[in-house]
Amino acid sequence: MNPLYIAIALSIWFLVGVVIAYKAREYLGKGMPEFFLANRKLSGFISGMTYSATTFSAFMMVGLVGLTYSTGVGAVGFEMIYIIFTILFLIIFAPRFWVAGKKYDIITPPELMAKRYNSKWVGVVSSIICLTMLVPYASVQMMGVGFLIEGMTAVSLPAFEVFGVTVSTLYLIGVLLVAGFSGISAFWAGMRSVSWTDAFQAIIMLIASITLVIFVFYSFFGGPAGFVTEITTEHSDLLELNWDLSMFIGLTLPWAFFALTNPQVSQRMFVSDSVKSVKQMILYFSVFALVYTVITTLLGFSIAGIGFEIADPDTAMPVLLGNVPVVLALIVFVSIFAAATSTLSSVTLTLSSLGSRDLVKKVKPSISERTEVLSGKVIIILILLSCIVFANLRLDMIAVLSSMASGGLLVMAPTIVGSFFWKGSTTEGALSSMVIGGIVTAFLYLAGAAHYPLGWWPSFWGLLLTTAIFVGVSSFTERPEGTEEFLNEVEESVKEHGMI
Amino acid sequence: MKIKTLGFIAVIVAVLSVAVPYTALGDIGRFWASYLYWTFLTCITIIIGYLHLREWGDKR
Repeated sequence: MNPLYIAIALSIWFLVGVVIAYKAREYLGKGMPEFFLANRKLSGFISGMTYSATTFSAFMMVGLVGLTYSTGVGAVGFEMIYIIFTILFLIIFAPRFWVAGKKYDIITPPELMAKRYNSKWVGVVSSIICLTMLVPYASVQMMGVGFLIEGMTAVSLPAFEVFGVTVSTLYLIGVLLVAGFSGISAFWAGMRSVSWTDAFQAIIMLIASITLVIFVFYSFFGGPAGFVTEITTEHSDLLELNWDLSMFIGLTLPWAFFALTNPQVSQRMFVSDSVKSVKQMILYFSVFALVYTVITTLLGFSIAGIGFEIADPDTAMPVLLGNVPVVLALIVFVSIFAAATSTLSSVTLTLSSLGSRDLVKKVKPSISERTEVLSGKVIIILILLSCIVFANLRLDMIAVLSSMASGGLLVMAPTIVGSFFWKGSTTEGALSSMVIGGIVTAFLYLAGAAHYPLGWWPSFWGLLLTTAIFVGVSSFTERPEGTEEFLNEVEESVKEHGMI
Repeated sequence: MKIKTLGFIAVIVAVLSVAVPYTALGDIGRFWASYLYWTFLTCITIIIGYLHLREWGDKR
């Protein structure tokens, strides 16, 4: 495709995004809750859309489409189980996060853990885990756009070397574009501009994907019936479950707990303005997630049905877009760009809140709120720079990389679940499970698939080990001061708000 | 619906979402097998979620 078309489409999208972010800035007040949580004043619609756009990234239209194209229906199960557990966890945990956030003026999920376990170190350790694991995940968003621009642009620009790493010019342009747009969105007005632009981007993502699947069905298969016939007769192997069980569990487990362990989404449980908005957030997300997942997986099957020969599954979507009308390809391209940007800006903003609130503020408690916000902004820049470097290393497949990041975050699951539902959970249990579990999980990932014990993935062993340590150590140590009070206050407030 | 009931549903769904495709549907190369099963399970969860959320409201 002519790069000029891509530049025009992105410019239009950028202008609309900037106008929305600028309008959001007009409402920006002062202080940490304002910058990082939009002062807990988001409506149900905006909460639902920012949750959806943050959760669903470039992975859906690039990684999941490619994964379905290459490995079939296992990819559908992997994603659907994620949706099922996100809905259930939101219903169970969103009321507790929401009331605790308001009651104790909590900004970040690690801060909530620190309050519950009465230990700043619980907050510090979980923040370090989040910062370490989410940089690769955020980089994946940039990689998605980099692959897309490389695959869609019919020009070749010379590659160059930086510190021994070969960098493709077009890929780098994609990476820098998504980093720049995300930076502006997060930097300008914090959560308010990120959530407003997220809502705009979520709508683009949905409309573009629906339009594409309808076009593909009618243009390549003569309609939905033709598509079903083609896949069931010529590609029925893709409808058979050919994922090895250990791979299925290994990839699915981290995603099942995604809503709790990924701070960029769990922080969104703090932002709604009322019980009604929390309720709407969950419902809007549920419908969005189901529709978007059905569409993306059908697109994966479609690419196999059309018969494109594709060596690298991550390039399946760019290949498809090279075979549809330019206008449609551009709309879909912008929607993928939007998905990547919305996730990246949310991850960046959340990580910067973790850095300033749970690390900088803990090291120097005397700093003012203004300095806290300023340190958050500096962290936004540092995170984006780290992601740019990571993205240019171009490591392995997008899907596996995303899941590895979530696999690392999974070590926090017992601590988070225990904080609301087990009085006996202790600070020592939380710290030892996260530290030992984190080190072992990271070690297993680095050791590689050949060294996975009994062939089971690190996420499986990580969760098993952290749960055992958490329960074991908690059983032999004293519960922290204020446990009963915290749990009673939260449960009472949940009841008072009728969220039970 | 009480929180324990929701927890119980989560455990049942976890088992069903893996056990059924891996034991009964995995070898069937049709859309109505694993694909529809997982989609249907998600729809059921959304309906259960909706029925639960409908009861939410400020009691103060």
